[in-house]
Amino acid sequence: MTGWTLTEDALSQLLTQLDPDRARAAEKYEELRHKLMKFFKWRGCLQFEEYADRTIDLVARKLSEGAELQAANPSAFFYGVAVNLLREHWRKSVNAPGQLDDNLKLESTAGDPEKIREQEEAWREREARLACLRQCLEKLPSESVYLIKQYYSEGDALDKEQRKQIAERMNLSATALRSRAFRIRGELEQCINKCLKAGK
Amino acid sequence: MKDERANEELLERYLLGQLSEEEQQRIEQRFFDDEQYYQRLLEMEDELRCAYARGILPRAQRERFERRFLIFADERKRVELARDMLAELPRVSVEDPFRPASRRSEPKAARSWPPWSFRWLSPARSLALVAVGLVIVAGCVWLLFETARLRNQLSQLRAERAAIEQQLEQRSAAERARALQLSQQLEQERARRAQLEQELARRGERPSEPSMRPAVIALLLTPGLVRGGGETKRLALPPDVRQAQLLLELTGAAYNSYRAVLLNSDGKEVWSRAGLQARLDGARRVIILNIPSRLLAEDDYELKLTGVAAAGQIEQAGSYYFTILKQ
Repeated sequence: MTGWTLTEDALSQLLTQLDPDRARAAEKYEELRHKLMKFFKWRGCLQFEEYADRTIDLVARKLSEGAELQAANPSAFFYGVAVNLLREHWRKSVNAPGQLDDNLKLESTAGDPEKIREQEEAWREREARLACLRQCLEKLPSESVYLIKQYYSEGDALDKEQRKQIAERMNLSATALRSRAFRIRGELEQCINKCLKAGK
Repeated sequence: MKDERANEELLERYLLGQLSEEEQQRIEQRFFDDEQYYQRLLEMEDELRCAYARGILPRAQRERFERRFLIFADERKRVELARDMLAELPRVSVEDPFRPASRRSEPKAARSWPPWSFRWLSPARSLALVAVGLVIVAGCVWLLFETARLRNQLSQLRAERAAIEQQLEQRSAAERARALQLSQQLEQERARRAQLEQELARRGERPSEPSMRPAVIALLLTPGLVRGGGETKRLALPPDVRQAQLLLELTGAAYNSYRAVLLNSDGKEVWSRAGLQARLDGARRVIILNIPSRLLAEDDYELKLTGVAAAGQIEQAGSYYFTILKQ
């Protein structure tokens, strides 16, 4: 793909093929991009964002050369291109799946100034994170706070029976309870990230 | 339920890299096409993240999670964030929104007194409650008295009504008895009348008219009144009267027998009868003459009476004058 860049016309053609309505097409574009990033991440590709964009560029190029997306299943075209890129990545990748990153090892700090500095930095980040977390918890509706408190901290997270009882008490199915807890945590994360960015 | 669990285990194994290439591609093709399936994957990923953050993943899964996720800086941050959240949540105080409202707002420590003692109420509320209670009690007492009064009134009215009904019944019975009596009297009168009618019919006289119209009409005459003037007796003859009965009062000598001759205003004889005998009517001596009314036209009449003595000689016994009128 060297020498080819995504032009405005090619992007426009891609969006048109995703959906005639430009706003809907932009939404589908973002959804696809998100899924592609997850795909590459779940497959252990460290440059997941880069590979997601490369997938989109490649699809756009093919469309500009005359290919067409299937109206019933346009994402299949993207997936096919992504799998090919993944295989190419494995052939070239230094960080193959299954190997731990050194960043995980935070405990071995004895006598290392760099490590001590990193730990202090991590401690300050954590304090900032906690402050933002408390602020964001206060902004959440009490029902949402109560739900995630029940779901994550009361009892074993892997206790299905306990989760089922909690769901029944709240007049929800187990699936609905999990979805709601996930959504509330996502809102909380977004709030915290925004708070952290504002604090920097 | 079992399928649900099997699906969740499959997704977990996909995320932890425990599936074959073919199985992975099958899942990936599905989540690219199915938004709900994709959301379930994201939820499962977050479940693993939180479970790792809480330190409850089994060792093998923990190591796989670290190899698959913690190689990414943003995932490490997310795990730290999850860890912070899980540490902070137990410290957060929040009311149970799913508990019934009556038990939600009061902290457990304040509920040391039983509800019926009212000690858990403020003084103002206690006073208000007592006032309301008094009003309710007073209202109940008033209702009791009012009910008793109305009951008495009702009983009285019922008794009065019963008495009135009894009187009406008695009156009605009396009226019925009277009506029955009158009816019986009427029946008796009718029977008597029928009997009389039968009697009259048997005697040959048809009472075509009610008893007010007599078959014979009588007139008492005295002798010596002059025809044409003064006080001549008049006799009105109804059309259905068959006979006019004339009672001639005798004032002179007595004779063995008499002869009567009736003359109209023209002097013409219209009727006569001989061999008449005198009879006593109380203290008077009278001769009774029954003259058919068909012979009596409306006119002035003279009735000459002659007597026959014992020796056979005929002598004037008197003249009687009257007028016949036709109705």
